[in-house]
Amino acid sequence: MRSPTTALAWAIWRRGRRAGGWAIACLAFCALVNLAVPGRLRLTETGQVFDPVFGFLMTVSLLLVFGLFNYTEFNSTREWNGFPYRLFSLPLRTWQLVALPMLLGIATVEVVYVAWIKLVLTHNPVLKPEWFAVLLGAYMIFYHTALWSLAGFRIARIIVLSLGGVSSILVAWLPFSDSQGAYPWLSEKYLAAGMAVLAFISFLIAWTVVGRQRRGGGHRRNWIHCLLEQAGDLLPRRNRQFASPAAAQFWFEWRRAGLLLPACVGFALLAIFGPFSWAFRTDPRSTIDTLVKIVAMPIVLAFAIGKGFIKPEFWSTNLSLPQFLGVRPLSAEEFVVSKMKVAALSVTIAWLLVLGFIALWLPLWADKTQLQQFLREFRRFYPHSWLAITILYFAGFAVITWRCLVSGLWVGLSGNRSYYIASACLQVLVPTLLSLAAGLFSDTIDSEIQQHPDVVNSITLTLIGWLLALAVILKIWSVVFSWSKNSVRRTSQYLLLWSGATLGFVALAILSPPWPDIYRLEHLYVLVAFLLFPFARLGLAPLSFARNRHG
Amino acid sequence: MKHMKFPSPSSAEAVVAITDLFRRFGPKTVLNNVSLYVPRGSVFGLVGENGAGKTTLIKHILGLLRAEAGSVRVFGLDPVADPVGVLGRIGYLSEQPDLPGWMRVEELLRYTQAFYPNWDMAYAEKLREQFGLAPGARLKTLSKGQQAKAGLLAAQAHRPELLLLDEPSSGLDPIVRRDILEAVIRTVSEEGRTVFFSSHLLEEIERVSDYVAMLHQGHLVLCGPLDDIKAQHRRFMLSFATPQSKPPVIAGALSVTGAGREWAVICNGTRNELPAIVTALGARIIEEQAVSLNDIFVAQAGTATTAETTSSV
Repeated sequence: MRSPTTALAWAIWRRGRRAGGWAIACLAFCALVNLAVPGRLRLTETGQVFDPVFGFLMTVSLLLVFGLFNYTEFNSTREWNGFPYRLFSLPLRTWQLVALPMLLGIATVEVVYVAWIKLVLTHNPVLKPEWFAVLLGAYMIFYHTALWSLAGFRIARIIVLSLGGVSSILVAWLPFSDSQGAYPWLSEKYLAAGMAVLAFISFLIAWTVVGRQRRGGGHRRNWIHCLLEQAGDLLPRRNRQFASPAAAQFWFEWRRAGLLLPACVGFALLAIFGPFSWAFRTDPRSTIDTLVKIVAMPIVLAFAIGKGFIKPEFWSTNLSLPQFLGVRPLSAEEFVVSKMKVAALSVTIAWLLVLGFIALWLPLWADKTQLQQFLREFRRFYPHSWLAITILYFAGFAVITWRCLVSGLWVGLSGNRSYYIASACLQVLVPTLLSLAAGLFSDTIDSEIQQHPDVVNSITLTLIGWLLALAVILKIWSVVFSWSKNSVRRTSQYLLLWSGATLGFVALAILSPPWPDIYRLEHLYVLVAFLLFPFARLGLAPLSFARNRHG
Repeated sequence: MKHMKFPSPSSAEAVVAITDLFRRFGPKTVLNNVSLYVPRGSVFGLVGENGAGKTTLIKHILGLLRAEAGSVRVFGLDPVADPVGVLGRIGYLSEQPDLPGWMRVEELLRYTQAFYPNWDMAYAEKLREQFGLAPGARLKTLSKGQQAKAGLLAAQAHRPELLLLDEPSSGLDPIVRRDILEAVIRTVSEEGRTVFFSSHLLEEIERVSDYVAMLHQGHLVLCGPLDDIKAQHRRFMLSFATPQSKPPVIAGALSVTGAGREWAVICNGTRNELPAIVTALGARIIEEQAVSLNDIFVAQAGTATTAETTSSV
């Protein structure tokens, strides 16, 4: 290495080369497909199928480039993930340290973007390509600034980056919103200039913040944390001894991650759904919509929080079991059970909050006109079982929320990063690709259903039935394998739990078939009921934990 | 290099019995057929340079690593198969005590207490006061030395049968080192329990250990009672009639250093044959000295390195 900047550039590439490789692979794959498919075909309706796929893979590759330039490292002294602290001792000026990853990031993302335009999107050119080029460069600077400036604020940084991601899409479409040219400042020329100025200001902020960190400033203990800690100090502390090792471990897990789901649910209810429902209190249509969103919210949050909850240590990016926990004389089963219990308590509190909010909102300020109509219909369809169905539905939602927290324990506790990432990607990619496929072929599917409704329904339902039956058999077989390694006591306890929950789901499937059930879907629902509560995977969790613990 | 096996107490007396332990991380062999036995009631020091395999060996004892080949028995149990049975009788302090920073000292004590039925709260309080740890202090706000003290407190307050200390004093100031060592010595002398600790500070090992094992690049090059090892190793000052341009070749010598007429030779158990060899070389022994553990380590490590180089050539 002839210069420090070359060495730093090499280090950045070296640590992110896998992400870079995947980005190049996406690009190369699409470029080859684009070359292989004749131009004539691309212009036909069938050929247009490729456009969303290319668009999706282009987004993935650009996100991978941003991931490659996630130039942060964990600082154990300050407990934050920010600008690599070790680089502060290098004989380089701060602006050089800050500018290098930014410039490299800009250069890389622009190269990848231009490659997509020139090699892949040849049949369907991007409108205003220069505008998107400016945006990508500016986003790279904003991204770095957010990463480094908010190093001490883990959740706030995630929120800022998520909001930034969403708002970036809105900003990108601004020049297209004013087709009449009524607002000249919405032209890409002015907007690009504005973005450049913002990017420069963002660079100055990053420079200042990193410079302050280099001089020993930027403590994580800001006033919010101080206030929270002072508030925490006022709360009564536990003075009693723990009754058992399991109780101690439960307390440990609860303190690490137990309150997160109830806190997020509470925050969403107070900060989002509360004001929203108040603002639309006179709109009868919004009541059912809001109710559905409120009910879905804990499940969505649990899905996201579950990605951290399944790891040995929620806040750590390292999946290895911390030695502090590894040397506790507690069996792998007990560790897993303590996590499952914490998840159960967390979910219970979260759902009590949701039910409490609904109990206040509906009688006090919601417009219930449509909801009451819906409830009347509901009672008419299920005159004897409507109450049982309602209770079972809410219990089922709570169980599914719990499932979102714990079903990945066998992956998260294994300590294997590849499994963990692959599992997370599968959970996002499979539904995305299925939705994409359904969207792409929706016209064909609709026309087939219209032309041969009975044939399609019969084939589809038979196929789904067989697939579900196969999944149930596979599940039972996996259960026998996974639980054979665990103690009889725990196996029988969990079997009881699973039986109870599954019985609830089966009861729900039997009590609430669609009305009228012309396609006789009830048996499919019963099969689904057998699959909803995790069994085999949780049996594998202690084995994964033991593998992680014993290297 | 020839794998060394050392005389050992019977397995009934051994708290830790390691036989032919082999471990590799990727292409690198970290432990190569290591066998050692830790007698009950002893202070056992494990020495070796950085990367010699000390921490890996300790992780095997704790069951945090599974033996690729060979066996590890602690209290006669397999620590991987029965982690609860083994870990419940061990107190462990790692080089970097990864204590959860969010916990307070009192919470750490209460949490740790739950796992050990023999936890002695009065003893824990005594140690806490002795170490000057405020009960309400969060662990992340403690200095490195204070964190090590908190870790030691948590490791020791249940009066474990085996206290495992992995580089307990690395990076600590002499006062904290003294506190830790004093605590270790007190533990052993008062209750006759076993201490196994690793360090690259040889003076520390020499001061407190009854037994010493020496790891070098994954090989066990030395193992036995400290007094025996020190008695076996001697330094001889040789004087040659004429200046020597190259170090004299002396069979059985661990190290030969010096220049001109004066040369120093460290030997291991070959002191009886040395006079004849020296005379044959045209030299005479002018002084015989005891050697420190540090000298023995440097000599042994040098010999092992030479042997490695020779065998690879």
